[in-house]
Amino acid sequence: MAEDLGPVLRRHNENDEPVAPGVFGFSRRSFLLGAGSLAGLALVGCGSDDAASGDDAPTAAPDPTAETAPTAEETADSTDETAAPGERTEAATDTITIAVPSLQEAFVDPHFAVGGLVFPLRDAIAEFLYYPDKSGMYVPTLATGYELSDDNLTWTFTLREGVIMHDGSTFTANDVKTAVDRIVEGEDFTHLATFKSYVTGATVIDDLTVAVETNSPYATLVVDMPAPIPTEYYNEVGDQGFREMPMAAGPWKFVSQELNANVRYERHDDYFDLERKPNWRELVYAIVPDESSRVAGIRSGDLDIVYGLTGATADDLATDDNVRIEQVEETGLAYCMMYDNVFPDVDSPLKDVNVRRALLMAIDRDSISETLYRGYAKTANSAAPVVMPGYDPDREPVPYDPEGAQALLADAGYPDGFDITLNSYAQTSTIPDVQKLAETVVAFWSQVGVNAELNIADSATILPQWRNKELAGAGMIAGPTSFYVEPARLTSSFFSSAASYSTVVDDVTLEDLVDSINAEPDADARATLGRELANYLDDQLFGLPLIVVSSLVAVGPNVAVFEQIRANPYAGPTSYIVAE
Amino acid sequence: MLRYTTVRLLQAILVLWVVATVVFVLSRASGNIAELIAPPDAPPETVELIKQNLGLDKSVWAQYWDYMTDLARGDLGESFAYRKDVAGLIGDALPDSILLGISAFTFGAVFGIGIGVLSAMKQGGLIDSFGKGLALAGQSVPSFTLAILLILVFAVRLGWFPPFGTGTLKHLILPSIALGAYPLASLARLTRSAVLEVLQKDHTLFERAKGVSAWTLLVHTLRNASLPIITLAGIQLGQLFSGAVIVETIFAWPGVGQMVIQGINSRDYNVVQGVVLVNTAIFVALLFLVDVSYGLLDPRVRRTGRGVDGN
Repeated sequence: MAEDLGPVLRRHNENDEPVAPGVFGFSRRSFLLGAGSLAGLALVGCGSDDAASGDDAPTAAPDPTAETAPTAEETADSTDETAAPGERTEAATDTITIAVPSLQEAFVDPHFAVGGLVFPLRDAIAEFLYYPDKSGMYVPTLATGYELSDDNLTWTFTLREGVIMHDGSTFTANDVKTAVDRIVEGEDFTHLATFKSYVTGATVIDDLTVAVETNSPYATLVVDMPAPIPTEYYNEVGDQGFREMPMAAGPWKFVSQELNANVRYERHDDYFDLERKPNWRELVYAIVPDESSRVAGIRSGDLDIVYGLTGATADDLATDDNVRIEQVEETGLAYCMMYDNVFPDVDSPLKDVNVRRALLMAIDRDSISETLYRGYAKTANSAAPVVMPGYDPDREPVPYDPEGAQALLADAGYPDGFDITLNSYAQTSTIPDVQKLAETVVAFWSQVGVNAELNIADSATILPQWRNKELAGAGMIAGPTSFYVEPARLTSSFFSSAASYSTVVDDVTLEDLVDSINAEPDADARATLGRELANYLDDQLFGLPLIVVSSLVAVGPNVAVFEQIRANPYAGPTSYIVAE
Repeated sequence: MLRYTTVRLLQAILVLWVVATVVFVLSRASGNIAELIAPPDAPPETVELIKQNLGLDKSVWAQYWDYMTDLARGDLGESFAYRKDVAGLIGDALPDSILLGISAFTFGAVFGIGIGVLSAMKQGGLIDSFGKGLALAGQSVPSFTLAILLILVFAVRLGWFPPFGTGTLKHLILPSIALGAYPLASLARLTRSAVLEVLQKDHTLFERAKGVSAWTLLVHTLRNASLPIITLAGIQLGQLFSGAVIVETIFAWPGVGQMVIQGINSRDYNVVQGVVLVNTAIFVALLFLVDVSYGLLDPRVRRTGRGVDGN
């Protein structure tokens, strides 16, 4: 499916049919800034522990041919004759409690709940104009289509009719405008700085048509659009009141929040999409920081779904008759980035591609996957994540070959190895045990004479340092796979000079490739270019693709079906969960 | 007594000022929060705007002055992550921590002092051996190990108590035991030795010789042994109130301990500063009360205006 994903932007008419795309003509910088902004949005507040933690962010292209918000196949088995077509049978279970390690935000306001660790809050309450379906492809949800003006500055969305918001009002274009205006004019939305810097406002054309204006081409506006909020209610309670009791159009209505303890929701009975409507009444996100406590919780029946498990714990839990382990596969790609390539004046062995290859050959990644990750990971065969158009599933990973690595190092002039710093954050929600992974890498490198000194710090320390190019040597980074369904994302995160968040290289060939990708509107051609990009990155190894991990989720007996958006490492949305 | 109290009060204020200053310096030394708050692709103007909003564009001295004047008004600032007033956040979380602290302290004090007294009275006997063993275990087993064991046995295996969370009396039992085990052990050991020491004093022997009842003897003995016990109890209570970070985390208890961990992880300096200050204030207040209680319990302190240690 991923290979079929379209470009980030395609034009739609009001019937949700594709409009001849033409050439967007976005500058490379503006495109990258746009794409990068998504990484930005995803990173802020996510605990800042991932390179780009935005499932929110556009993973895939809005697809003009996509059906609106498909449901889980299992839905068909969970329907009955008394329910409306496509609606799930009401479950015997009233409440589903999902345990997560952290939910930092005080407010469940969908415009503030931005970032991996708080996405569950946003996804419960919010409904967007476009959102990923189960395959990870963006499809119209509250919108039915859009058109982009010839000057690429005005986006005209047509909206779904008959959607009921949480306050009982009917969704209209005003609700889109209210959300846009709130962010554009509000002072507290520095975390949405990029959106604010591009979008100048919104104009209501009629009840079901709204135009969003930008001051320059904003490639990823469709997927950056904030969740519409009920205008009348917002005006009535004011901004502060809205933060404390937010409303939108999502499947769950906010009920209460006990800080650092839990957040409670009740089902939005008038939720417009019957195929994704929850079949249970109450959703509770319980904040349980300690893994052993989460495990105890699902064993005792106090929890129904538990996120944030390590492989060892999952294996242990798998022996429990009342618990099953679900894998959301390939949710994280662990890279070892070769930072030194970004400093033109620094003399470093890491600037030699053969040295980089030797460092990768020195690591037994199969062994790491099988032992450290208990088989819930596999050797990455490419710097391109599995969902990226152009990903080559047949590419053979660089083999583990310590003798070959030593020979390459000797040929490169380092027969006795060299000293290097390996930076890593202490933990990340995307790659479990990342510190142990870094320690293991150091151990493997020492076998070929490379002495790496570990610099471990918390993500709040490491990531700003990396962003400001204050780190030297190499560094571990976790890429949430679902973010990279668009080749430009990979470059905008890591591998180009215009990388918004951080970069590891300044390479002319790579830059040309990035330009080509951003100028190419055709999906197939972009996939071809994506393949070219992946091949180039895999040849050059500016970042060593180490392993691809699965997210492990423990599910209790009250949950009949557990599925998640493809490669999404985060808790929520609950669209593909069916209660027993 | 008035002089004694006044001196202690001034010392407490000095301690608070020093702690506030140290916390301010450390938080400024550990990086620029604006860089962390800003979106990764934020232009420099956005970072500057955030700095202005947070007052970080001012000189350190100006920031320090603002900080101290705000503190004098009881304003602990606003949380960057929670987007709420820090005093309000702490006010929300503190009752949970205090509830857990009081519960754990009650458990520890009642059983600790009780076991200590019984051990001393029955020195060398079975109860004494049991008491000493329990005290050793209580001081040796880390709270997180005990917490997990308690959860496994009483929540998962037996299903008697919920494994975490708040809301009912049952939720309070396991974290209270996990948190109260160390104070229990400490108080048991100290009480035993203090009571033994008093029991061997001449005035106690004289009371025994006079045929004073066992109950009266116990009361007299405890009063004479109370100063070190109260000192330790005050310290333990302060520690329990100020947030048991590990136990709160394991039991998902939404108190100050959990909040400070979140604050540290997200570089939410105002929260960390606020929690440290409030904890310090609680600690200082409790020790102040302990000091004052010396005067009430020991006439020598009242007369000399000095503590039992001569200070």
